[in-house]
Order: sequence, then C-alpha cells, then structure tokens
Amino acid sequence: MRRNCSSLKQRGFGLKKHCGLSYNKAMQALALRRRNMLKASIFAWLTLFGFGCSESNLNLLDDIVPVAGFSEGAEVKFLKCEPTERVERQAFKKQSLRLSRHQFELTIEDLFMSVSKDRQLVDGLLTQIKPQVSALPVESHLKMDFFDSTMTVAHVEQIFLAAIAAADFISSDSSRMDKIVGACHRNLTDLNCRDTFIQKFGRLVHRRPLSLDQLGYYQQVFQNDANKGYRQLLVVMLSSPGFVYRVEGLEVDGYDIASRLSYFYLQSMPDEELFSAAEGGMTAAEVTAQVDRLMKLPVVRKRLTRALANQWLHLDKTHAFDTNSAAVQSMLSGLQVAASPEQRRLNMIQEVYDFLDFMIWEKQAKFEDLFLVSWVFPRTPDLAEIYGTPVWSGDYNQLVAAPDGQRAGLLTLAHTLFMGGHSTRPIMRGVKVYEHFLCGELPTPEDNSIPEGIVLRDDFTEREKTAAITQHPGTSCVSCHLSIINPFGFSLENYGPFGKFRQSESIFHPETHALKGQILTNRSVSAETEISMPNLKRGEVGRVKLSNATDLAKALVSNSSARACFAKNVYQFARQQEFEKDEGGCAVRAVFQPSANQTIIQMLSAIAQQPEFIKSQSHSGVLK
Amino acid sequence: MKEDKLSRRHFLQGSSGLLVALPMLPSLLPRLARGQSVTLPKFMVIVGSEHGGTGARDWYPEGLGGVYSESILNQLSKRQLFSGTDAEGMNHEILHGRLRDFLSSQSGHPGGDVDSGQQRVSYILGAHLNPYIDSMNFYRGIDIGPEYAGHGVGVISGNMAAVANSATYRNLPKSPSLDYFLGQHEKFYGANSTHSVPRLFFGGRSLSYDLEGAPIGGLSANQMFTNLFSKYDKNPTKIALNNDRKLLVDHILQDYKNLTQGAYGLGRKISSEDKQKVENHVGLLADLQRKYVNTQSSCGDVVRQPAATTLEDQIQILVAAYTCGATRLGAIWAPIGSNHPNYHDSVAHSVNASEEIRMIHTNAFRWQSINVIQKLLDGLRNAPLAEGKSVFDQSLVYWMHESGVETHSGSSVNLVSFGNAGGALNTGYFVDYRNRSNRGHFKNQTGGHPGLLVNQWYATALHAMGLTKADYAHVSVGEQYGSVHHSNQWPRANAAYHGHMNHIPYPDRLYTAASNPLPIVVGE
Repeated sequence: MRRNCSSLKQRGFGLKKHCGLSYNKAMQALALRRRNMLKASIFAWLTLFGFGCSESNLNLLDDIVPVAGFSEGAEVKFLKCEPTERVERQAFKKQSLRLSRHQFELTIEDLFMSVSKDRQLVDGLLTQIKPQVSALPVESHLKMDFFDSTMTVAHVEQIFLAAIAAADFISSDSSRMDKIVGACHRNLTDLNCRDTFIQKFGRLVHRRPLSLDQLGYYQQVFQNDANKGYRQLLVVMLSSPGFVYRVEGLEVDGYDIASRLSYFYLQSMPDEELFSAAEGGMTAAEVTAQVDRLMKLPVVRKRLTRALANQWLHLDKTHAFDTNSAAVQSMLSGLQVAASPEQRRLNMIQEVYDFLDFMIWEKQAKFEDLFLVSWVFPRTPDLAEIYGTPVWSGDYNQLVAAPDGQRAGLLTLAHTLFMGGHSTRPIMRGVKVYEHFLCGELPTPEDNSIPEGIVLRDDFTEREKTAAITQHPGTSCVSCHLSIINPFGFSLENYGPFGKFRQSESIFHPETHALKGQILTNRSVSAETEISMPNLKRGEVGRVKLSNATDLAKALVSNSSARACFAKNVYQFARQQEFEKDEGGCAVRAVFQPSANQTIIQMLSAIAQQPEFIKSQSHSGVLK
Repeated sequence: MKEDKLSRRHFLQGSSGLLVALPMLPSLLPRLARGQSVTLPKFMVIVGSEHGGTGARDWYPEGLGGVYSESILNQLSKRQLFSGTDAEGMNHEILHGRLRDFLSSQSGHPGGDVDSGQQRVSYILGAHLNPYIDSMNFYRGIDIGPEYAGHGVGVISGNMAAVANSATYRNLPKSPSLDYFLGQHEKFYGANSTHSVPRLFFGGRSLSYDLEGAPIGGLSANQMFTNLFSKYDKNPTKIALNNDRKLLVDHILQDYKNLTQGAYGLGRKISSEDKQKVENHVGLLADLQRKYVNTQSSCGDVVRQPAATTLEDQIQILVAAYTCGATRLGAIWAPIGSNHPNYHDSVAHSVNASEEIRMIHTNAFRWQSINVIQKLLDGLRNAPLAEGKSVFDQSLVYWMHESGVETHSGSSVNLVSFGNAGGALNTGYFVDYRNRSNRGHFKNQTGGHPGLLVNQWYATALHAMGLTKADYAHVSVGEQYGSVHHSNQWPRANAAYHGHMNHIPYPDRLYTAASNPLPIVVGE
C-alpha cells in the first residue's frame, strides 16, 4: 500500500506539497523544518518505504498512534487501533473456515484415537487415507496456507474419497468395528447401538452434540442401507459440513470457542476437557483455565511449534539443492560428511523445529531472544559440519554453541540462509528477512532485464554482481533494492550458500564455462552495510550501520516493528485468518505490548484470552 | 489389474499403455446441430505456461530479428484503429502480415541447429509447427492492463482476478474461465446438454475457474479418464462402484442442505456468507456426482491401462474425448520442460544471468512447443470428425504465457493461436496491436508500447466458439468478458525511470473496445 499525502496532512504534518518528490528532495525540504524534525524523520521513513519502493512498506506501519513507553511526543506509524473501530476490525470473519490439509489429517487421527484408544488402528487408518490427504490442494502463493479457505471440486472429491477409504478400512474388519462402534455392531437391528454410535461419534465429528434433526437424518442414512449402515454413516459424517468446516453459528457458544482454542493449540478437534468446558458455556475464566492446561500438554508443544514454524517460516517451501549446478555438486563433494541433498534439506528443517521448541518452551524466550542466541541444534553430522560444531545429542541440557560471534539465532540458522543454489542469493535472503521478520511487502519486479551497459565480470562476488544489476542508477530496481532488499541480504554475506560461516567467497567458473564446477578465484567478503530502520524510541528514522549478521539481529530486536510483525503473524496464525489491510492493530498491540519482558509462551497464551478471540460477529458486525 | 474396457470400435495405441479410440460418433452430430444441414461442433483448448520471459530473440519471429526495425515494419500492412491527437491519445495504427513471410532459417543461434536448417517461425515455435503456419496466428500487443499484474494465471483463461502478485487485480470482480463459461452456456452445448463433464483440465495448476471465480483443481490422466468416460462404462463392478458413490454423495448433499435449513439446531443459524459457502459446496458436490452417473451411451472403444499418467496420455485422452463428444472444452497447464530442481529461482528468474540459463529457459518452452502444442495439434488434426474434416478444423487452440517476453511483464503477453474454429477466424497472420506512437508504457524497453486489452482476446475466443457480445456482456462489470482494471492514470510512482512521455497508455477508447473481438483476426 502506498501512503497518500492527504492522510499525512490530516495527521498534522502539513507536507502535502512534498508529495511526489524524490527521496532526496523530500529529505532536503524536510530538513528545513527543524522544529518538527521528529515528524520529518518519520516522513522520511514513509518516503523510503512508501514512495521510493512504490508499492512496498511495512504493513505494520499503517497508522500513526502513540506507543506507550516511548519518549514524550514520539509518534510511530503503527497498526491502527481506533477504539471505535476495535470491535469490527478484530473479530473473526463471518465465514467459517475450512480445515487445512494438516488439520484435516490431525482431526481424523484424534477422532479415531478418541474413540478407539488404539494407536495401531489409527496408524493403519492414516496410512489408508494418506493418498487422498496428500492430494488435497494447498495454495502455495499465500503467506500462510491457513489463509486459503477456498473449496474446490478437488477438495470435495479428495475429502469424499478419504472418507470412503477410512470407512472401508474400519467397516471391513469386525475387530476394528468393535473398537469404533462396539460389539453391538454385529446386530444390525440393534437400534440402540446405532443411535448411541450416531450420538457419540457425531458429537466428536461435529464438535458439538447433535440436534434431534441431525440424529434423525443420520438414522435415515443408516436405514437406507442397513447392511452397511455404519460404513455409510462414517462416509457421510466425515464429509459433513460440521467436520470439514469450522462452522460457527451467529451466536458463538462454548463449543465454538472450544474449537477455536483447539484449532489454535492442538491444530485439531477439541479434547475431552474442552468438550466438558464447552458444555458449561466456556466463561472467560474457563478459557483462561483451558489455555493454561493446554499450554502444558506435550502434544500442544509439539503441534503448535511445528505448525507455527511451518506457517510463519514456510518450511514446506524450503528450497531443494540445485544438483544440476556443477558448482553445487562441487560444493557438496567438498564437504566431509556425506549426506543426500534431500536429507540435508530435511535436517535443516528439523533444526528449525528443535530451535523453536527449545527457545519457546525450554528457555521460555522472548521474541528478541530468537535472534540473540548462539545455540545451534545440529542433530546430524552434515549439519554440524556446516556450523563447525559437535553434533547435538538432542538433550537440552547439553546445548551446542556456535563459535563466538558467528551465529545470531534464527536469523543465521542454516535453513534461513539456504537458498538452494551455489550462490548466497542476497536478494532472496534480503526479501526473506524483510518479509518474514518485518512483515514488509514488496512488489514483484516488473522484469528481470539487466540494464544496458552493465558488465558482469566472472570474478565478481555475489554482492558485487547483485549491486551491479540492481543498484544501477536510473533503473526501477533501485528504489527497492538499494534501500531495502540488498542491505538485509548483504549483511548475511558472511555465510556461504549452505549457511557455513566464511571470510571469503569461492567464486566458481560460470556454468557455461568448460571449467564449470571449478573455483575461479577466492575473494574476501564483506557483510558491512547500512540499513534504514525507524528508531522508535527516539522517534526518528535512522541509518543503522551493520558489520555482520549479529548487528542485523540487534537492529531487528531493538526495533518494535520486528516484534510487532511476529505478534501479527502469531495472531493471524491463531485466527487462521489474514488481517485485512487495516485490521488487527488493537489485537496485536494488546498481545505484544503489555510487557517488554513478555515471553512467547505468554504471547501464545494471551492471544486466546483476547475478547476478540472468544467473541463473534453478528450480521451487523457488532460483538455480542 | 483389470482393464476398464468398452469395445466396439478401433483403437490407437498410446505410448504409455493408454489405448484410446478416435472416430467421431456421427450419432452425436444431430444432438449438436438441429438445422437442416449438419453444423459441426466447435472445440477449444487453452494451454497456459508458467512465467513467459522467453526473450524477444527466441519467441518473436526470427524474420523480425527479434525486435522491430523500420525496414521490417514497412513491409507490413497498416490499419488505423483510432485517430486523433487529443487527450485520448494519438493515432493507433496496427500492423499485420502473413506469418509465412516471416519464416527464416537463421543460423548461429546459441541453441544450436535444432531444426536442421529448416525455416521456422522462431526458435521456440520451431520447424515442427510449420505444418500449421497457415492456421496459426501470432499476436503481439495483447496486454493485461494498465498496471503490472504478476503471475496472472487466471488471465490466461479469462479470470483477471486470479493474479498472484497484484492486489489491484486480485480485488477485481472474479469471473469464470472461458472453458467453464462456455461449458455452462447453452449456446455451446445446447440447452439440454447431457454432458456430464462439460470440460476437462489437467496439469499442475488450475486454469479453470468456476462461476465464482474459484479455481478448479487439475486432474491426473486416470481421474480425467474416469470423468470423461465412466458414464459410458458398462463394467458391472464400475457401475456398482459409481452407484455406491452416487448414493453417498446424495446423502452428503442432504447433510449440507440440512445445515442451511436449520436442522443443525436452534441457535445454530449461520451467516449469509456461510450459507453462500454451503451452497457453493453443494454445487461442487453436484459436480462430483455427475462423475458417478452411468448411462447406456457408448463412446467407442476406450481402454484404460494401469499406467496412464503421462502428458502424452492426457493429450490422447483429450483427443479421444473431443472425438467422441465427451467434452469439447479443455485447459492444459503445460508442465515445465526442464528438470532443473530450482527452476523458478535459478532459471526463470535468472534468465539474464548467462546465456546458458537463458537457453535452459528457452528450451523449456521449446519442449512445450513440441510436446504439448505439436502433439495436441497433431492429435486433433488426425481425429476425423465428419464431412472430411478433422477436429482441428473446428478447433481453436491457444497458447498463452503468464508474461510477455520479459518475465513479470504483462505487456504484449506471449500468445499464439491455432485453428480457425470452423472458419470463424482469419488465420496465418502476424498481428502487432501495439500503438507504436504511444510511449506511455512499462519502462523504456525496446518495443515497449501499449497495445490492446486482453479482454479483446477473450472476445475473440468466444466469437470463435459461436458466441456474440450479448452472450458474455453480463459476466462482469462492463460489457467485456472478464474484469478490467480501468485506469488511464499514468505513470506509476516510479515510472520516471521508465522513460514514459506522459502519454496515456490505455485511453478510454480501449476500454470501450474491450468487448470486441480483435480486428484482423475476426471480420473482413
């Protein structure tokens, strides 16, 4: 979104006449207004992000509101949170959500575990439905898969076929039927058996007790073909709207809240305790008690960590090794520890899970801590070689620290740095930092053409090559690359393509060259750069000089934008819905602002206790 | 594994174990034509490709040298579309010439002498497509619109709102894809169509969008086979399976209807948005149910073997389906013709990194040109229809990329078409719709002039299929098919870098014309 001038003027800046000026001219003009230097600085920040890179900005910097704790008079463009708008902006949207692919699978697992208590049976069932679950479409363009609630015929068909596969697996074996329906299933005329099953299983499927009409309907389904009535029931129930969607009534009740809690914390249906609480209507106190209970469950720890990591950091989109590249092959063969490229990739992903598991649950870290620790978690020798450390045993009492000054938490994990190819791809790294950790949005470049007159020497470092192509004066690339993308990426140049710390870059012969895969030369690398960040405490935009990734990490954590971005991501993850452009400010601020020492666990707990999380919208959009 | 076999007619042997029958069933024709003389049915295939960014050198006719020069332009016929020098812009003159005249046999291409010295249109549209030179049209100057619209998959098939990287376009009213729209239109299949699957689509990404503009997933060859031919299947086991599934879908449908009818209990009223969602789901279930309806009809001999999974299988299924009238609409998302593991980042978005990378990209499109386009055209041409004509003679096949010759450019999106759809289109042309007087366009690139809106291409395709403006004027806001991003504001904030000359790239007259088929190709 591009800021327009009128809104600035309305805020008292009186800067309309500067709109449309270049960054430099805007700065010169603004410099004359020393009495209002604070506001001028903020405008420069807006200019930089809102005009120079014409369609990009930090989404979080979406309005100007006071931020508690900062010096008097300082104002920060931040998430909008007008009290009068609070209600309609924060509540869940009116449309029910479709279970994501992963949630669909977990819900089936929990449903049948809840009924059968038989791990082997459930594992067998999950194997049966794996092909259909894998074929459920996942929208890959969205930031979080969660945000896609589209239902297509492909979804409908795969859900239907999965239901058939599950039902056939259960109904084809009498011992399995014993565990799901009870031994009474053998007597097809036992209507009490039928009705008990419908009510008991239906309650779990629909995540609430069935109405009498529903009971009647499922009785009809059974009677329509009594010889395989239970099988038919299973198929129909597992395809029903109450199972496939998180259907909420206009009046949200305890069961709706139980599902909101369970699909946040468990990524699945409510457990029995949530069901029990739901029956009582789920008061605010009960929600607090349930959140406290859930946060102590090992299954929540595992599922919440993984789902958050997957959605926030897009782990399912992790690059594959470009094994077609001779340089990549050469680099792989140069490593001492043998491992397949795919296994290396999976190990990097696993480390992200381990890192977040430890930081969030063991260390009870604050968001800032994610970027300020030197621990690494290489479970395998191939990853340990990248870090130059011993293999981590998996024991949190025996942590592995990277060599001094080499690592900055999440920012420098191998997964964050790895881009698949033989180059460090500073652009992609920069975009990743900007989008994942600052919630920045960038326009897609209009084209990839190299400006005329640019000479790219074979012995250019990746940084030199990137700068030559994207920072050429007079091109449209400059506005985004010079100020935003490249500096973030360049600050990570001390790490090679696979994430290994380095002082020099091995430059390979071009892939077109007869000597491709061989090193042309080694040149020293520089991670020194300068980024633009708003200094919220001083209320001005600052140019922050960086020497390395650790400096970048410090710059990120000392800036509220990164923390707010994380809070926004977590809140969206919890709601499973993306905030619209102007939404979310109140909720995110409420979650992230109470205390500077707030841990991530506290943040995760606080979200579900927000009034907006447990209330609903009526037709008129007013909370009830 | 037991084969699903329907015997009575002759077979063609597929390469991957797929056998399909090809003769058109004359018995279908009366249903398709109710006049005294037989009106042959029409067919369409949309082929979409990821990216684009083919580069001018490898995509445009080599006879043009990759870029225009005045000497070449002088050889082309000119036609003035609009005149005037007022605020609406300046003279808009388009160019056209016979595509055959652009055939050349350039040597020294970095890709090597892949066509053995034969003349060809371009490196990508190589000599293998020469048999279609007179039934082909090559378009330049078909634009997505006034603003950058990256990764516009839906633009290829008519849904302007299905654009990944532009909120402006995503927020436009959604529209169905052309294949879906035609499949629902009584003028195409007739008011009482019995087509259980009015269209087919396959590939890794959907090009088909339903009436709500929601994507419809692609299909495997096996799924496609089932969709198209199961209604002709007399295998008792298959019939029993279908009946079972149809009954189950009936039950599920009722379950969804129960939700909207209050059967889920008092106090469980759902929002109007959710009711709409449920209705959409019911529609999807109805679509699904059609697959399980067995009929007593026959569609020739169609045999499925266990491993019908390849692109070639899919094309053969499409040809067989067209031939026997199981469907007449298709959309194909062409697979990338490269096994590079990081194609998106390391190739498609790095084409200028080196000539080698450029050629990986170029050859990926040439691969599609051979393995998708040529094979599809050959299949349709070899499929007899009636009266000595082939399915191809009644077809429009068009191939559009996400971008133009530069990646992420929606200016002059790459587009070629094949077939005259029973004489509805003039073919054999190279047409340049750009307004070369107008410099108000994306960057100061060679040949960077605004052309006509892509909606005129949709109108052209619909015209080819027998529809008129009145048939599609209701699809979106305005009379054109699909949405338009109506803006004559220019330049964008950073367009100062682009060398624009304060020209309005898309004056109102172009929006007014957006509902019309393309000149030169239609009419005369």
